[in-house]
Amino acid sequence: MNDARTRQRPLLRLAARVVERLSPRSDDDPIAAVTQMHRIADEKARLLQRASANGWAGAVGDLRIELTDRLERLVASAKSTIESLRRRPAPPPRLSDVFAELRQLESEFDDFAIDLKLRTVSAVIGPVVLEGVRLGRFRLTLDVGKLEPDSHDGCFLVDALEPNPAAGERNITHPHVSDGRVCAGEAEIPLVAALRQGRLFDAFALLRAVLNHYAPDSPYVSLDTWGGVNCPECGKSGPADELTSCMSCRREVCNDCSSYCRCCDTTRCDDCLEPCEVCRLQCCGGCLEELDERHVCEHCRKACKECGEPFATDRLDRATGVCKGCRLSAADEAA
Amino acid sequence: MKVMYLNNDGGGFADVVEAPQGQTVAEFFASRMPNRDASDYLVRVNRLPCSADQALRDGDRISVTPTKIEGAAGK
Repeated sequence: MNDARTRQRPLLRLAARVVERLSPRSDDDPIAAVTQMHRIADEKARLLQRASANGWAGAVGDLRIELTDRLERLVASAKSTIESLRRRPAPPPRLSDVFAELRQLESEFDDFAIDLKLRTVSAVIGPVVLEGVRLGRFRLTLDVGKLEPDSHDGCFLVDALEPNPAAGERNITHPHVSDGRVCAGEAEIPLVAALRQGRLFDAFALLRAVLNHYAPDSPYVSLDTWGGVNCPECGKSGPADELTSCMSCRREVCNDCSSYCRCCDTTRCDDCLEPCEVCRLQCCGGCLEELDERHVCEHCRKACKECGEPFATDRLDRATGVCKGCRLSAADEAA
Repeated sequence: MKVMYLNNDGGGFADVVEAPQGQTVAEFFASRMPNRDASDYLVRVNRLPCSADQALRDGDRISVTPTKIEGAAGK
């Protein structure tokens, strides 16, 4: 009996926190605000009557202006109160109901945990597999301190326990989760309603329903390209838009496996580049030419100044730019 | 009899509704969620799992939550 009470105490304390967060605060009580406005306007009206009765013309003028201002504020406050009353018809949840919600969460979700210091309640769902893509398990954490009666913004955190994020998008661990925040989509309205009424189990069940389903029309990253595409050169996976096309073989390769021709500056894969045998710089097949059984790039080819035949620059005389054959012929003629 | 009906589908509906005496969970679901497949929903009576032929009783709390909901990408 005592054990059961000891186990239930943290649940009760957290349930109390939830009720506290979802109860209207006195400083934003719409009825209190309009009552206060009415009291001030009533006070000004009585002062105006008194001033009129005593014939204090100056005071009457000032009080008319003040009363007009106060009545305008009273009307605005009354309108705001009407809207608040329409928007918030339900009373805050009862402690016993929230406690029962926590008990239900504990019994139906895996790894249920509460942290009284952080004021959080968490549970684990999964493993989630969508369209054959394994996304692993997710921990859903409700930050009770961020609960608001009309919003769930920021109060739920979704942590991937075995993250398999989208290629190149480490913050997207699920098609509908980014930076640990789930975009609830069609669950948005029932989720806000469930939280407002302290139905924590329903809120967790709604988020689980979102995470267990893939909406192909509205993901952060489509499951079709979740793992990215494989580079045919090294086999590594990456986002499709980070691949570059080789101008020679037309294959799409990753940045690590692509480079450029030092002659024509066009993008080529590593397979379609080879070194010039004179300068050793990587060049494409279009810029290399076979001269004397060597592949020589454009920059390393020059015509002999005598015969006009193409030669590798290292086969021409540096000073005269003349090939060996022409130099020998010239020497013979001179002799 | 009256039961508390919590429908988490669509707009999120929670209210006390009338139901015929002895109506089963399956009958209640069919009357409230026509053309919907019960297997696509998590149904709980008084926060407990229930069978389709379980008879509802006055004052019961029945909740219906979809098991698959379309999420989105940012607001």
